[in-house]
Amino acid sequence: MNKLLLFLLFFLFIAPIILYSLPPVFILGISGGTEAASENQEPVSADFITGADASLGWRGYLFEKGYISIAAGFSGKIVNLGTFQDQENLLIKASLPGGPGRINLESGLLSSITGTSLSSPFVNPQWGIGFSLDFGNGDISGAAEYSGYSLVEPDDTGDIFYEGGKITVSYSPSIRYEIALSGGAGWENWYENALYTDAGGTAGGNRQDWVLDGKLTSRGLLGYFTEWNVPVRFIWRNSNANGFLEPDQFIPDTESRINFSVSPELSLSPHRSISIETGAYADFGRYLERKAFNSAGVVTDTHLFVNSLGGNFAFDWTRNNTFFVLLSGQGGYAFSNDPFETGWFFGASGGIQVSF
Amino acid sequence: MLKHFVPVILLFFCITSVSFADSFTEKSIKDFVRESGYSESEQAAIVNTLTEAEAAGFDSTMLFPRIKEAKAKKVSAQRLISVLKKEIERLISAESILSQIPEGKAFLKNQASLLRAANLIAWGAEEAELLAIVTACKNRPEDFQQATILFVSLVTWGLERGSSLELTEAAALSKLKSRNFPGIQELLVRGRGNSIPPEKLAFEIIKALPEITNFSELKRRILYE
Repeated sequence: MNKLLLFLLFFLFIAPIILYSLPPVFILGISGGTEAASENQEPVSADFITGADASLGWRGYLFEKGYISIAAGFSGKIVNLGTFQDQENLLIKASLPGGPGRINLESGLLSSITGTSLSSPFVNPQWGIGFSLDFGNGDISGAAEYSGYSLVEPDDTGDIFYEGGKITVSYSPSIRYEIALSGGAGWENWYENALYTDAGGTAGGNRQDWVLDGKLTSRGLLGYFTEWNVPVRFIWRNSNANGFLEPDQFIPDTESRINFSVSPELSLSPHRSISIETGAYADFGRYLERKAFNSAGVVTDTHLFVNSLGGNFAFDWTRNNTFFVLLSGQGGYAFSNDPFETGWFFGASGGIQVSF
Repeated sequence: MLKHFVPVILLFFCITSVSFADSFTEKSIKDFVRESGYSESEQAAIVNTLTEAEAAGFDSTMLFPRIKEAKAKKVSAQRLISVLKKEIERLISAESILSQIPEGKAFLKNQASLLRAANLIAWGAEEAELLAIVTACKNRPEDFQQATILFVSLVTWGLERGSSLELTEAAALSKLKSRNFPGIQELLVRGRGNSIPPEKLAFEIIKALPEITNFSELKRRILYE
């Protein structure tokens, strides 16, 4: 009897998902390209990258008005036909009706067993829960969310535990235009980052950052085939991190800073066979206490600033929605009053993907 | 790539030009022809064509956008007359098609709707497609323009013609405001970005449209975001 009850409960839960879900999308791809960069006044390094990736996406209804979506992926790269780098991702999202609004749940995992060109091996679980509400005809909506993540790097000392909250209000007077304003605050606990005393000893405690984040996003539709999106973002980071350079140079407050950025994007699909996405960014960062080093490695009297500009481009073509040809490119330049913070990067790749 | 935009641009132009036509009287159009730089015999031939339109039961102001365009582009009188005759033929076709169904009668009384139907025929719509859109718009004739633009944009984008028509009908029969119709195209574009075949997504949208009351709801149901 109990087994029958369990079966019925299972069927009641799973049946709506099967009935209303879209078929799963499975994608396999291979790519090749190059990445070149110069930073910290080091000579230009250029790498030849070959890669393969696989991803699975599935979306379905949860009961009558809820939904669940699952995205999982793996990407592997071979750098200069020698070093292998991997990255895995999993993201599960669910949304259910909750009183006058909706309850949104999110959980994910990023990881790399071998490490990537930007980090050592890591595991990065993420989670979040939020509540969203529509007003009127859905023209105005509001959302509040709590989110967190943990970044664990076994071979490094950059582990972080983060928790934060965000409130978003958006107004969409028509399908052609939407504006959204969000404000959030978060706490980062860098529990492996020790603090220093003036003399270079361990001060006790660890680095802790408070981050305030404000974002204004305008987005819209041009004609029937073009979407645009312009986020403007302001971040204020208040950190107790400090540093000590041998033999006797104590550097207080190394990470407190403000950043202002704008990153417009345009995506266009004039025909189902073509998709073009392009974007640019400009980020202006000012450190509140930290001073810039000169080219001799000596601390100057001026506050450090790091500004960066860049852009990206992606194009894909398909004849039958199964076989895709991809091209992409990105580049950026960082300039600063500290030569060690100046650098540039460029990347270009091409590949093919098969969607099942 | 530009060729994909041309039909939509043309349709937009034709639709917006209807308002110009409304503000002109038959007398002022004939005056406009006389001041357009054509010779007297050419002017007489153009006015004769306008008279033919009137004899066929159409207000000659409906042809004003073509005359204005011809003047701006300095088109020869012979070419203009040929264009006007084709336009009259399309209006006759549109009238004939719309009068086949009871729902079409209301559209025949509205000059703008008749012109839109003629423009749709000029674009390449088939009789059955025009009738299906008119029938779907019978309770919201003011949205006929947006429904035809949606249909043209879907076909231009490459969605199968049958799916495009079904989607347009479903949109016209839904509670979705016509100003949000471009959002349906946006959903298909975003779906493509997620590797969902457009015909499958179109089917999902058609299923969801009768149950939703606004675009945010549709977007959530389709894109799960």
